[in-house]
Parts: sequence; C-alpha cells; structure tokens
Amino acid sequence: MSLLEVSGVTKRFGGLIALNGVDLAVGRGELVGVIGPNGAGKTTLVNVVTGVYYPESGRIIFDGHDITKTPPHRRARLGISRTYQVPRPFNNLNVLDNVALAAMYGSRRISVRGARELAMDLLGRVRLAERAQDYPESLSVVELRKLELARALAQGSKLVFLDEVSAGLVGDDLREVLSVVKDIHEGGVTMVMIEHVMKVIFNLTERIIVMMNGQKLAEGKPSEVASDARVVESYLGRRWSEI
Amino acid sequence: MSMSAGAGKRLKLPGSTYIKAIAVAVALAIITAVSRMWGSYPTLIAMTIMVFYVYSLSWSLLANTGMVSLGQALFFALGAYAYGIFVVSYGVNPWLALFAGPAVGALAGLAVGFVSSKLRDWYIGIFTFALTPAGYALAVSSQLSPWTAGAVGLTLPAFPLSLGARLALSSALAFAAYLVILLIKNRRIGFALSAINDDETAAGTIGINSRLYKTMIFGISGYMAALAGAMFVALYTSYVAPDYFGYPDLEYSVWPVFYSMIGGMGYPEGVLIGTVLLDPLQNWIRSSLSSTSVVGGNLALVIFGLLLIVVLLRAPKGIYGSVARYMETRRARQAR
Ligand SMILES: Nc1ncnc2c1ncn2[C@@H]1O[C@H](COP(=O)(O)OP(=O)(O)OP(=O)(O)O)[C@@H](O)[C@H]1O
Ligand SMILES: [Mg+2]
Repeated sequence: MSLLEVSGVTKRFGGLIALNGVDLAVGRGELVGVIGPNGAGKTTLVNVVTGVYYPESGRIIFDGHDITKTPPHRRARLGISRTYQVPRPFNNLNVLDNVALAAMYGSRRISVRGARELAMDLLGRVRLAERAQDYPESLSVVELRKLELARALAQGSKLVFLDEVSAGLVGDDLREVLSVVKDIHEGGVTMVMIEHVMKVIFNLTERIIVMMNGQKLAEGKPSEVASDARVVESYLGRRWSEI
Repeated sequence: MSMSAGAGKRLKLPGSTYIKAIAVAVALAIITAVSRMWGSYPTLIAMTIMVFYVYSLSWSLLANTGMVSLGQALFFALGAYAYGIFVVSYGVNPWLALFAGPAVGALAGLAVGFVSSKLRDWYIGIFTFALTPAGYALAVSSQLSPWTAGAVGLTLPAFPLSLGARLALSSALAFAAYLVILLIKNRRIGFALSAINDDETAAGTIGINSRLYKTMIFGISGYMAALAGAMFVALYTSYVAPDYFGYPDLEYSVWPVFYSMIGGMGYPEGVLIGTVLLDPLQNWIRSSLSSTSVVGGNLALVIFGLLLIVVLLRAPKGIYGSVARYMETRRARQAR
C-alpha cells in the first residue's frame, strides 16, 4: 500500500479552482518530482496534504490513516513535514533553535539538548552551521531556504515535501543541498520534491508528475515526461532541456 | 539520520539562566530590605511592586504567546474577589484563600483561553477587553451583593502577618512567579510558545498543537493574575472594589501592559525592570501631580502612553530586550 494516497482532491479559493480532482499516490521510499508552471496548484497540493488548508472534496490517506480532516500538528506527528516556498522562519528563535524546535515536536521523542545536537548536525549538512546563533532576520533568501530544509528534515518524518528548496541556489550550494536531499532519501525517507524546472530533479527522481491548472497533466519516468507532447506544449513549446 | 538523541526529557538550564535567576533574587531581596529599613510607606510601595510584577508576568506570558489581553484585570479582580468571598463569607483560612482563591482565575483563564485559541490577533484583545465590564456588572449586581457587597466593596479582616512579613511573603511569591516563567521559557514548551507567537501556521506544520498550548497558557496566566489580585487585597489594601475589574477606569488592565512592554516583555527580567521603574513612578504621579493636572487622575496614563511610544520607537523590544538582543548578536559575531 502507498504511504500517501490523495484521491479526487478539490480545493477552491473563491471562484478559482486551485486543485481539481487530483489523484496522487506516493509509495514508501519513493522520491517523486512535481513540476508545473506558476499557479499550477503545486503548493496548494502541499498545503492540503499538510493540513494548512482543508479540501472541499476528496480523501487523503497517510500511512493507513484518513487524515482528510486531521489538524496540521497531528499530521506532523504522524510523520509528514514540509518546507515553505516562501520561507516562514520563527523570527524570535535563533537559527539553531528553529531547527531544534522542529526536532522536539517531530515524530520522535528527544530532549532539548539532543534536539540541538541534531539541529547542529543538520545545519552543518546544509552548510548553515556558521549562522546557528544568528536570528533569521539577518539571513539571506538562500540561507532561509536552507533553514527551511533543515527544519523539515529535523522532524524525522516519513514523508517530506520540498517546495522549491533549490530555487535561487547555484554552484556548491545547489550541489550540497541536493546531496543532502539524496542522502536523507537514501536513508529511507519518502520525498516529494516540487521544482519549477525539470533540470534539477531530472537525475534525482524516478518519477515525475506534471501539474497544470490544478490537474495532473502527465506522470512517468523523467525521460518519458520530458518527451510528452502535452508537457512540452504546456511549457510553450520549449525543449525539455530548457525547462 | 544518524544522530543519536539524548534520552532524558529534563532540561539542563544554560549557565546564564542561573546567573539571571540569582540576579533577580538579589534584586528582590534588596528592594525588600531597603524599603523595610526605610519605613512603612516605602514598604507599601515595595509590596505593590511585587504584586504588579506577578501581574505583569501573567500578562507578558500571554503576549509572548501571541495573545494580547486587554482585559487582564478580569483575572486580577476574580482573584481579589475569590479571596475576599472565601474569607468573609465562608470563613476560610486566609493562607488557604490566598492560594486557593486564584484557582477561580485559572478556571476563568482556561475558559477564556479556549475561546481565544480560536481567535486570531486583535480579536483576542477585543474579546478579553469586552469581558471586563461584564465582571464589573456582576460585582455590583444586587443578586450577588450578599457576597460582593456590591458597589461598596468588601472590607477584609487583616492578614495574620506583620507588615514586614507581608512584604517578605510578597517578594517570595514574586520570585516564585519568576521561576515559573523561567521554567516554561527554558523547556520545549517555551520554544513552542515563541514559535506560536511568530507563525502559528508554521508552528502547526512542525507538530505544535497551538490551540492546546494557548488554552493552557491562559489558565496559568489566569492563576498568576488572580494571585496578584489576591495578594493585592490580602496583603496590601484589605479591601476589594468593583473597579479592580478595570472598568470603568482602565488602569488595572493597562498597567501590566505598560510595565511589560517598556521593560521588555520577552524577558521576565525586563518585566521586573519595567515594574520597578514604573510602578513607584505611577504611584508618585498619582499622589503628587494628578490633583493639579488638566487630565486629573489619568495623568499617569497619559505620561506612560507617551513613554511607551518613545521607548518602542527607540527600542522595540523594550529596555531590557533591546540590550539583551544586542549582546546576543555581538557574542555570536565574536564567536565566528
Ligand atoms: N490562499 C490563497 N488564496 C487565494 N488563492 C490562492 C491561495 N493559494 C493559492 N491560490 C491560487 O491557487 C492557484 C494555485 O496556486 P499554487 O500556489 O498552488 O501554485 P504553484 O503551482 O505552487 O505555483 P508557483 O510555481 O508559482 O509556486 C493560483 O492561482 C493561486 O493564485
Ligand atoms: Mg508554489
């Protein structure tokens, strides 16, 4: 049975249908990529699965539990975590405690000190250890994305959604962050990686889902998706290597 | 993830926390000793400092969880009335009434917190503010006057302690309240409250049950505010009046706001500084300047309002908060 099963989920914002009867299954241990143009509904999908919004219709099953109406904190404890595309750090806690707090309330029991040690380790892995004692307000956008990543990973979840964590990252930073993602995934964590462009996830994922207008447009191996005529069309005829 | 997690749930407090706690204990002891040697009027001033420190801590605990109570006097007055009614109508032992009476404040806090946890931002302020006239109306209602003595107010028997001992008790309770805040602050719940204050949605997605915490914190805050109210009437005024509900006169609801915000509401040490500086000033303005001012008895409110604006423009985290944050970032920069 899949770890996550989303079936027929619809989410409206007033007249706008952000998700239109979306079905999605994520198997245990998978690393799934999700791409799609602006406004496709990618972030809304994460919001609905993590409980930030409740869908108007459809069902969400996680690890055997129907979580369609479960509040966010309980979903987190069941083992779902996420990053925010627009970083949402806790500004009154320093960088270290931002990550440590996520560890304290995640799906494992841990002391304050243990949480700080784990947080320090994760900050090192995303190359943010130097800023551990600083407050988020002094961080650059790139650093804030790394903080989001470290915080989501600190929860020790079974399923992690990464909402455009690589946006704005280049060079060593990009390589490091992607290698952390890969490590954690290889450690047995199921992941859904949302990216705006396919390049980043092409070599990382076994399966890519393309979203558009609140619906699933295509799904398959990266190479299949890349040559799918509808996908190419939806990106205004650009070649897949550019998207 | 390969990191092994520490097994124990108990937290080891960082060294600087012990130093701060000792500093607060010493400060309270000095205030107590000096005012006592000085005379009985300073002793009374010191006693109100202790009472309003407990009261301001109760307000700042809520504010640091993102809940701005504009009707904290509801709990203060409930504590005062509970003590008074227990002692006068039911002949309860004053010591027992001093600690058991505030349980009424805790219950009211849980109820108000349960509702507040569904509200966001300023709605909590409006909601709590709206409760104080209701409390006042109950206190003066004729049906309840056999217990409350209506608008006349309840006159209480003297607490069975000398003036000096009453001050010592007040400072001990003030220190106990400080320790409670310190314990909350340094455990995982303290970090969680700070996160709820910053971003409730993000706090939820990392596993924090903000509704439960907000309700619980309101209960604790309700007890502390009610304890302050009970201390105020038991040890200081020997009298319970309906206007302790902060209605029609706002004072009882706004002093803890001023003291906490100007001193630095994010830090219990800052709240102490705010209370020590402002509470005697408030008393002095009221007793010596008010009679000649155009705004009469409200002069202290006007002055404190202006003071608050000046402090918050220069130091948004209050006097202590700004210094503390500055030191912390400087230390972090030096460590690098
Ligand atoms: N809270 C909200 N209120 C109103 N409309 C919203 C809200 N959140 C999302 N939308 C709308 O829903 C649609 C899908 O948005 P969503 O953020 O899920 O897209 P996305 O695929 O993540 O896009 P991007 O690549 O820009 O991040 C958009 O039209 C967006 O404007
Ligand atoms: Mg998005």
